[in-house]
Amino acid sequence: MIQAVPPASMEAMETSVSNFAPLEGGLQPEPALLEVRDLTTKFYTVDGVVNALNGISYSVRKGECLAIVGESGSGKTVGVLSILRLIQSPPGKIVGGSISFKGTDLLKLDDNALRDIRGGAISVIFQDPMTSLNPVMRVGAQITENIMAHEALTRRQARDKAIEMLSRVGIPTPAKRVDDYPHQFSGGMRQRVMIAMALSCSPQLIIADEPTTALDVTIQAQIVELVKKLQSELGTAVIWISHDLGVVARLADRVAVMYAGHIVESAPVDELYARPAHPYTIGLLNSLPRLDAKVKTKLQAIGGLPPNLLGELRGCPFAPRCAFATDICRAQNPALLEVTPSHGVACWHDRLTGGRA
Amino acid sequence: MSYVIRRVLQSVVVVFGVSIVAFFMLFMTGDPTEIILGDGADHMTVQQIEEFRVKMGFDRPWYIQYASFVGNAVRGDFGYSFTRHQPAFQVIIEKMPATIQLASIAFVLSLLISIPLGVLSAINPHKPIDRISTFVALLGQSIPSFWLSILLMLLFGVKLKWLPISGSGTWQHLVMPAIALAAFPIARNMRLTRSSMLDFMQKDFVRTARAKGISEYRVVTSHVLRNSLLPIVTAIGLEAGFLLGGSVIIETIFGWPGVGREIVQAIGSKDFYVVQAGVITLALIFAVVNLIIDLAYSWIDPRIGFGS
Repeated sequence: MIQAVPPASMEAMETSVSNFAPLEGGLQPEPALLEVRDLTTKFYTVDGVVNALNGISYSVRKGECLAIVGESGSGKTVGVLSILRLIQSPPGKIVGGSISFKGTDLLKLDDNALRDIRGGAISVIFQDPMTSLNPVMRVGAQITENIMAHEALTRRQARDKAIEMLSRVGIPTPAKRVDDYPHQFSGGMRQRVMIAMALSCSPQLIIADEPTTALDVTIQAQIVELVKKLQSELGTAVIWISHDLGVVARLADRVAVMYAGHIVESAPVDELYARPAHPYTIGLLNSLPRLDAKVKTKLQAIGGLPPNLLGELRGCPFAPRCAFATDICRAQNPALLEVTPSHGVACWHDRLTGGRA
Repeated sequence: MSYVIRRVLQSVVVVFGVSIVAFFMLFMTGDPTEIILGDGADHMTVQQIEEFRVKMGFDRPWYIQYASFVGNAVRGDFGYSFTRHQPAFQVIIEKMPATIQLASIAFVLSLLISIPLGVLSAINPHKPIDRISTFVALLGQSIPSFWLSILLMLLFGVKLKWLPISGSGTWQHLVMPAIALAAFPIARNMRLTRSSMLDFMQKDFVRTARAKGISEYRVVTSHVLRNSLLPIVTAIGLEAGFLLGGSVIIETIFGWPGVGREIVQAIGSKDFYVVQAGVITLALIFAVVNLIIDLAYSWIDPRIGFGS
């Protein structure tokens, strides 16, 4: 059953690349709800081709919460917006891979069939609630619009459902607020409206694209708790994009770490925080400010900058910033392989097993 | 409600300002007595001229004259036309229907063509439909309206003989002036619609709309276009005023019996009571139209409140 066993010694490691199995869904007892394989998205700009997403693979099971973390520009958002083909095109284009949702490849669907999925079985909560709602449309109308696109309800019934959703996400006096415009809501309340909208057609998967980034910390906590509660009530799977490792620790079942358009590490949340394997993940975790640190302890930053994604990259994208980089790192990009069960890492010298090179 | 009152007061101030300008135009062109009498003054004695001056009230201090001008104007009395031999205000009012008819047809024409064309362009950027309409818009904005008028006359009036060259009376008379008058607004509004639409199509909430799974038609109409309307309405508001007051050239070229042509003729014959009546009436219309447009904003954009 378990294919990859960590070798006992470094010597064994160096010769036995084949011991590492690719990170497949085979470990999971039930088929994944969403299965992304080798997803590659490029942006064809005037300056050249931006390789935003370089063949990422991951899966999400029913009711699971997968967090995708990484710094700005690492491809997190492009990665999830590609699922519903919501990237701006042109210049963006999904050039390869497959996205299987309950057995259907979303990349092969025609526009009509894709629209049935959008806002229905898969919905999105966007990053900035200030700009993600139509400023000249009543919030109720924006929610009913979503409902009526997917369910055979009258306007009246859809409106009642919108009010019910607003009350569910904790908006006081929803029957009155339903006729308000977005500017009459605070940031946190607008994000609740977005969540109500995303939940309105009982989706099986919610894509949350940094939904708390634009909010202040207390509101962030409220939104995280709200999503957690709704997720456990409704059994919805969630892909939660974030660069906030603190939020992720409270919410996620599994975490995928992205860097320069690649997933560099993927593991259950406790495993990742306890035993990070990729030097980049370790750097990220070390850079977190800690309450129990001594006063005047300097924050540990990762030296250097993320690579420019314009044009092809050779080798491991993290190599220029990595303390452990060797020649092979600069020559060849390591694949994401399991080092221990369900813990995948893309590194020649991962810090958990010592590496495969 | 206080917003409405504030806006109405602003309009009153604007019309008041125009009244000052219209009033002092009379003095800036010289001694009004001599202007009115013109060559006739040569056959009059100095005493007769002075008597005329007193009769017209030009001997009084300017502020008294202005006060009585305003006092009469609010009652619709702008003096008596020397050439038409009827009250100046009545001269203008009688010409008003023709001007309103021409302006409103040009106005409707410009909206019916420019907005759909702008939308089509914006949703098909850099495709043939976009390139053609952008090019036509460029022509429409660059060609002076008097030259376009003459070209239209040559083609449809002289060569093809489809339409009457000038005058009024039938719907055929309206066609060429309406096109000539609408050409510029069509071009400008088309470009404005296009750029405004393209702008809003990049917005986050449009992506949200697409993520809901609604049809692309709905995305474009109820999300993109609805938001794009605001800058368009601003332009339309100004334009409605210009079409009413600014059709002077078109009316003159096509012999259209409207207010614009009447004012031009009145200037020529120094019938300045008619000029004053015309200018102030047009300013009033301009102010009212802008007021209506401003109030329409709050309907289109709920963020602009009535101050409540």
